[in-house]
Amino acid sequence: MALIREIRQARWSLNGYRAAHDSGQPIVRAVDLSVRYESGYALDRVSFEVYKGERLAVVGPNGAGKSTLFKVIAGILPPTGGRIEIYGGAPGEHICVAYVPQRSVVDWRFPVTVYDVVMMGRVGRIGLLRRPRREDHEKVRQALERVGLSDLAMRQIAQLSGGQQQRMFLARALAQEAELMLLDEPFTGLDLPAQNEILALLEQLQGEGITIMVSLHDLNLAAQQFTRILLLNRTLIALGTPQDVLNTQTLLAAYGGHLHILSEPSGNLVLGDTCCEGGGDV
Amino acid sequence: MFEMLLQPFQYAFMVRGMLAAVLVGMVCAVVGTFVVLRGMAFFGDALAHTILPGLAVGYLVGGGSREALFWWALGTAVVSAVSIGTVSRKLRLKEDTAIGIIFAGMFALGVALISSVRSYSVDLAHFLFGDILAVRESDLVRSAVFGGLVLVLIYAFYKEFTLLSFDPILAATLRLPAHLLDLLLVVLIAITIVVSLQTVGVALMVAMLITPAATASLITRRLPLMMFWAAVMAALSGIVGLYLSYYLNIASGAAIVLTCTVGFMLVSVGRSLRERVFRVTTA
Repeated sequence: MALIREIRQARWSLNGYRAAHDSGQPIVRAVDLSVRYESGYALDRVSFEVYKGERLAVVGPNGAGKSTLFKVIAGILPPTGGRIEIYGGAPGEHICVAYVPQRSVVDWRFPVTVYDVVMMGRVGRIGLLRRPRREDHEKVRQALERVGLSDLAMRQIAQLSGGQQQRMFLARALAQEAELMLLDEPFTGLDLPAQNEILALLEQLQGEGITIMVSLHDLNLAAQQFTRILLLNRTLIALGTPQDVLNTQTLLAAYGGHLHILSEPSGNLVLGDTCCEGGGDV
Repeated sequence: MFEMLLQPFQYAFMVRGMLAAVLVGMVCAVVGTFVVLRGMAFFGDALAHTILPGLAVGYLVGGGSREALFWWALGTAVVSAVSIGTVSRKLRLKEDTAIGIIFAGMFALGVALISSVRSYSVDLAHFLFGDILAVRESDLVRSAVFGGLVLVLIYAFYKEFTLLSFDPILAATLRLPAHLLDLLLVVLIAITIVVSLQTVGVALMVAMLITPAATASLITRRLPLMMFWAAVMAALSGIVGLYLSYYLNIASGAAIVLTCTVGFMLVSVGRSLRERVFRVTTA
């Protein structure tokens, strides 16, 4: 029976997940990656590589497949075509990938504290039927300190500001000991100081060798703060440094008529992505 | 006054009833916390109703044996709880639609089966609305054993259930056996329902799962405290409800549920009053 097979296959401890981290391999490799829903392709033959320690922006209009791509990389959505590799292995063998959800999909009224949420990042390592050990509490405390939330640890999560909520999820990814962090729209709805705090934090993490992929709407932010940009609209439109990726041709391919492009005398482009929520991006 | 409180206890059936109401109420409240947090109220209600054909068969073949009733109800509950996900996937229906179709059908089947017996309306009423004053010692022991089992399993998988309820995506990235844990939770809900059948019956079951937990969610924003207060609410409602039932001569299951409901309303009114006062003083 299916149920018995499932019980047998379930791994009841983490010992099965000590997948080899072959550092000669790129941390993410997508080869002809496709995801097809009933409504059509969310991702269509996307191929790219991400290297350890990179800070990569994933940019594209709404419905471009950014969240889908992150879920495939995190190993929670199986691709319908092509393949994805983490350090050369299947994503399902790794627990070193952290997916930080969009703040809008989180149930903020859920009765948990900041500390509880960060401890959730340890659940996989603690193992079934076990309680958190001293080491786990220590990791949670360190993670909270890193993101500057130690004083708010016992707050219920709805009592945090948007920026604090985002930093809490980064702390959870730290507690998870993630080597690859996937941040889904972390800047949406944040004011400038809060954005800058997150950016500073990301820079620190990158300095420690953590690979970071961030999906975002703000093309300026992508150009200023990220070493490489992946421009996506179901297919991969361009991947490279901001100078290489952000030009009229590629942006028209990604955004179509939803983009305002003004040529300035200096030749620079002023871009406004008008198609998306969380607008106000200029 | 004191005498009024003690008077019901001269009857052994009232003592057993109180014990059953408190025990079952606390188990329902703890399990119900997850039911509320995951938005499974409709599932819980429907699951309680699907048990009816199981009860009917147990009743027809068991010749009035409580033991037979219990095991048939448990079997039916676990089978329907586990199969509902599969059915909705196979039929390509939304889960609540599938639940509606199957569970209403099962309920009708139960009514049809019971109606084939002559003392139909009395027996049906017992199944639908419970009969807590008929609880025997053996029933109490069975409720304690299975209720205890449910609480132990909730405690054992507490962090996994919490994580799955709050963030299923993280559960998946941490490679938890999410599907199995979901099944386990659903089976625990099924056991809870069967254990509580005698208190409030099939028709009012959902109130025992939902109302104390919902009340507690107004009082606290910590999950362990929410479970604690839900259990306190449920136990109190069981006791107060049985007193009301004794002195006003109303149906026990209905009295318990009404007490829960009034408790919820009092707490929510109290909360909004407190918020208003708080706002005025800070403004």
